[in-house]
Formats: sequence, structure tokens, C-alpha cells
Amino acid sequence: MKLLLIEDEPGLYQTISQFLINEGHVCELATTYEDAEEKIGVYAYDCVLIDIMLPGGNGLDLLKELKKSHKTTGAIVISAKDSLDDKLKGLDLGADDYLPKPFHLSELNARLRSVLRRLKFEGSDEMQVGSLTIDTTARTVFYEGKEVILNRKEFDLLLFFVTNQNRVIKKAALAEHVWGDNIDQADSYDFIYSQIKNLRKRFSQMGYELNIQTVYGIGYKFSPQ
Amino acid sequence: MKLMRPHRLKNQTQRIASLSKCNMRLLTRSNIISTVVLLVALVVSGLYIYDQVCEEVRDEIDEELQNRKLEILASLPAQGTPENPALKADFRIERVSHSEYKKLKEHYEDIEIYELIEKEVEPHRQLVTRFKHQGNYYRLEIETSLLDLEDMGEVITRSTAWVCAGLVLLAFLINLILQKRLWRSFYQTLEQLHRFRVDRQDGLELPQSSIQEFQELTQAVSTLAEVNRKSYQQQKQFVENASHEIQTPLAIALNQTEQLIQNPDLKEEDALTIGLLNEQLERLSALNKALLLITKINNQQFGEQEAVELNPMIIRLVGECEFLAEDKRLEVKLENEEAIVVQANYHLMEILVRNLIRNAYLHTPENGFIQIRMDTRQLTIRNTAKGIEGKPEALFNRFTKQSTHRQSLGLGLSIVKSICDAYGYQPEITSASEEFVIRIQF
Repeated sequence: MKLLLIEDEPGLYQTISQFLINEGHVCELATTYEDAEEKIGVYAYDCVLIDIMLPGGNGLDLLKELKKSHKTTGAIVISAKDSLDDKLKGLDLGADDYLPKPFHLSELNARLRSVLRRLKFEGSDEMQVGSLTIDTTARTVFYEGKEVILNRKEFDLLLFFVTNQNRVIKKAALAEHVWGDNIDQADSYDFIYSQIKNLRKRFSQMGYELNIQTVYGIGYKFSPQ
Repeated sequence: MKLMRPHRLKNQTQRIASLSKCNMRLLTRSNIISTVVLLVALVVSGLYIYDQVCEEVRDEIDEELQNRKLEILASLPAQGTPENPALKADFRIERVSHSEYKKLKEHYEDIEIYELIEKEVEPHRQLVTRFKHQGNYYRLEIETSLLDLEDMGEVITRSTAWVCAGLVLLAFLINLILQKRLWRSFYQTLEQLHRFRVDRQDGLELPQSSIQEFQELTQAVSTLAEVNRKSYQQQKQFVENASHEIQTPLAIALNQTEQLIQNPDLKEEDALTIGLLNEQLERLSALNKALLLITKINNQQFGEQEAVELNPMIIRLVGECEFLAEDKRLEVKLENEEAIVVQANYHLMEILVRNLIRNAYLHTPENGFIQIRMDTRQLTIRNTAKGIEGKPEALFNRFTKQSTHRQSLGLGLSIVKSICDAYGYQPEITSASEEFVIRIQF
């Protein structure tokens, strides 16, 4: 996928663009408002990641412009201002998602994949993950033709693992993804532990071992079999 | 400059509103005062007028009595003794001794005489004087009725009373109509101030007035409101900027550790070090987020309020925790389930309820119970717990923790408290040996 990252903070754009390239995307970078304006005007992207506070202007204006000229381009607003105002404004202007800083790369990945899926850049809604078939629209999982019944949170958790397969996902990233913006984060680690245990149980009942490993107490890693 | 927070303002207006139940409105008060003053002034002036008129009339009567005396003396027969007139005359003559004559001084006195015809006592004025006639000494008493004066007093009293009543009524009407009109812009300004919120963009629309004081008031209020709004905006801006400045380096550091742990060739001890580093960074990030949230709540930066029904929210959040109940074999009961509807910001209420419910699920030991009771204006969450040390209320303070969760920030209940404070709810913690109860009164 061809992506444009609009971000002025060197420490951030280096990591993010490296991460996106590792994920197999083509990632271009714009570090100022003018730079971004020019690139949006000239090239077509599958998805654009826009920081709100930019030298030379406001990212929301770029979003407006983008949605005027390229309706089908996905847009994710990333912002350090974790304010509802900006979120609503961004979504109003046609952003596909809003991600407050600081975010986990695995979260960014999940959001990006979800936007790309919705915009049908990645073909059908059905994914084949190892011996599992996952339908992201119907939110169903099949193992060898039999449906594995999951509740909403369990499905979210599975999808998050699948999107970030073969990566170590930090506990905090899992907690935030499944439980929303949580304040006393550490508390939710217990939740995550229980929930992963539950998820494993759902699959083992169907005779499938979900390969989720703990990594150095930092996080979990899912590798499909 | 210290901002007056909207909720303080609200409290203040509530306080004023409750005061005004025993106090009265300015117009009523000024109406009463002016009516009473007018009444007193009219009564006093009525009495004064009555007194003056009485005096004048008395002088007139006294003069008449003097004239009558001269008439009587002039009509005395040149020879012989003066005789008392026939019955029903207005004077009496009495012969007195020389010594009596000497003692007698001419004077007036008010007397009451029984009138045979009217059969009642009536007031009279009497002149008592003396004269010498052909070597004899006489005492003369001349009287005249005071009935005219009494009538006049009555007339004066009655007309004064009417004038009084008329004037009081007039004053009352003037106060009522004119003052209401004059003060209209004041009350409009007051109404606007009640509705004023520093976090709203729509400014005050203060009424124009031709009265200088109200013009000045309008001017002062507009300036004050504008200054408040500006400093609120600046404060908000500062909080946002501070958030930006702190979150960005944190985001970079967190992303770097995330990338580091992806390396499959990582030595275990390095991985553990990174884990520790990551833990601290996450803690810092969570702290920053939590403190910003508390700041936002305390600054009332969650503007939009709506009627929020808590019950569906509670049921949803309890549902989300179901797996945990399963896992820890908790007995969870929802009780009463009366509708709790509050006027508040939806997101804040969700944070409040989520914190309370998760708190209960996390701290209840295995095989314990959780009871969530919903009364119309009260939410009670009761769960099994080990008794806590120290005062239970201390848990509402920042950074007080009871749990052994290593990374717990101790901010969860403090956030609950901030939200309660912002809306004037009463949170209460009680703790017995086997039970922990949080009750919020909305």
C-alpha cells in the first residue's frame, strides 16, 4: 500500500515510517504543511496519516483538502491533543480514524489495516490465517468449517493479534485496544491475562491451539499455525 | 488570574437562589420601603396639618370669645348690677369678692358640657375673665362650642387618609410598572450571567440601556466575561500544549522500546531491561494522561452536558467484565435497577462508572461477590474485600493505593472523586472487615 505520513517530529516519523516499511508498505514522508500540501496535490495515496499540529498550518485543513480532491483515500488523524473537539472535527471532515498520541505501533497497525480493509484495498473481508478463516465484516471465525463462537471483546482481541501476527504486542497496547482509553492502565493487565486465557479456551474447545506466547513479561506474540 | 469555575458559579447561583427564598427581590424591597416611608410621612404630615389647623382655629375662636367679652361688657347697664342672662345664653356673670377678683386671671379652658338636646357631652371652649362694674367685682365666663373644630379634624383626617391611600397606591404602581421597566435590562443581564459558561463560544448578549449605571454594568460584565473566557482559553491551550510536549517524547520512547522487543535475537537480560524501561515509560505516560484528565475535569473542560441514563452503561460495563467474573468465580448481582438519570457529560459519566465497576472486579478476591444497587439518585457498589488500613476516604486522594498491583497508579478513585466534585455528587466509601462499599449520591 502507498502511504503518506505527515509528521514533523523526527523521533516519531523515523520510527513510524520504518515500522510501516517493515510491514510492507511504501511510505512517503512530509514534515511541513507546505510539503504535505504539495504531495497530496501531486500524488495519489491509499491512506494518509495526518498530524494535527504542523509547522506552517493545521493538519485538519490538509484533511479538508485531501477529502476534496481524493475522496477514496483513507485518512487517519494522529494528534497529541487528546481532545474530543479535534476528534469530532477530524471525523466530521471525513477522517476514517483518530489516534491520540502516544500510541503503540501495533495499535496504529490495527487501525491502518482496518481502514484499508474498509476501503477495500485489501480485497475481500475474509482472511485466511493459518487454518482459521476470519470474516471481518460478519465478525465470525471458522476453524475447519466450524464456527468458533466469540463475544465482541474476544473477537476484537483475536483480530488485533491477527493484524499484528508475529509481532510482540505490549500488554498496554492490548489493554488499550480492547478496553479503550484506560486510565489506571496497570489494572487492566489482569483483564488481559484472563481474557487471553478465555480466548485460548474457546479455541481449545474446538480442538485448535491458539499460539499466543508470552514474551519476557512484556507482551504477547501470536504466530498462526 | 483565578478563574471562577462554572461549577462554582453554578453553586453560587444555587446558593443565591436558595437565599432569595428568605430574601426578597430588590423591587419588592424598595416597594415596601418606599410604601412604609410614604405612609409614615403622610401620617406625620397629616398630624402636623391637623395640629396647625387646630391651633389656627383655636386662635380664631379665642379672638371671637374676646370680641364677645367686649360686646357683653358694652351691653352692661350703666346703673345697677349686671344680671345673668336668661337660660341658654353663652355667658355667666358672678359676683366675687375683691380677694377672689385679684386672684382671678383671664384664661381659656377646654370644658365639656352636657347638651340637653343632643343628650351627650360636647367639647366647649370657655373664656374665664373678670371685670369691675360700679365698684363691684365680677367674674365672667363665656363659652362657645368646639364642634366645628371637631368636624374639621374629622374632615382633615378623612381627606388625609384618602390622600395617603391614593399616594401609597400611586407610589406602589409607579414602583411596579416604572421600576420594572427601568430595571428590565438589569434582570436581562442577570439572566445572561446565569447562563454564562466560560467554555462556550457564544458570548453574552447584554441588553442596551439608556441608564448610565446599567451601561457601566453592561460594560463591566462584558469585560469580565471576556477576560474570563480568554484566560480559560489560555489555560485550556496550556493544558493541551503541555500534553503535546510531554506525550511526544513519551510516544517516541515507547515506540522505540516496542521496536526493540521485536528483535528475535535479543538476549534475555537485555529484554528484561527493556521490559523494565518500558514499564516505567508506560507508567509515566499513564500518569500524564491521568493527571491531564483530572486537570480537565477540575477545569470543567468537558463542556457538553446531556441527560445521561447510567443503567444501560452499567449493564454494558458489567457485561464487558463477565469473563472476569467467570474466571474468578464471582457472584455478581444487579439490584433494584431504578433508572438513574443525571445531567452531565456522557464521557465523564462513562469514566466514572467504568472506574467504579472495574475497581470492584479487580479488587474482589476469587469466589467473592459484587452487588450493584441502583436507586433513583444513588449508585451503591458493594464487594467482598479485605479490610483496608487507615481512613477509607483517603482512597479518594491522589496516589493513595491499597492494592498490591505493582503498577497501579492509585488514581482511579481520585478521578472518581474529581468527577463527583465537578458535578456536586457525594461519594462515600465505607469498609468493614469483609466488605468494601462505594456509594455515589447524585
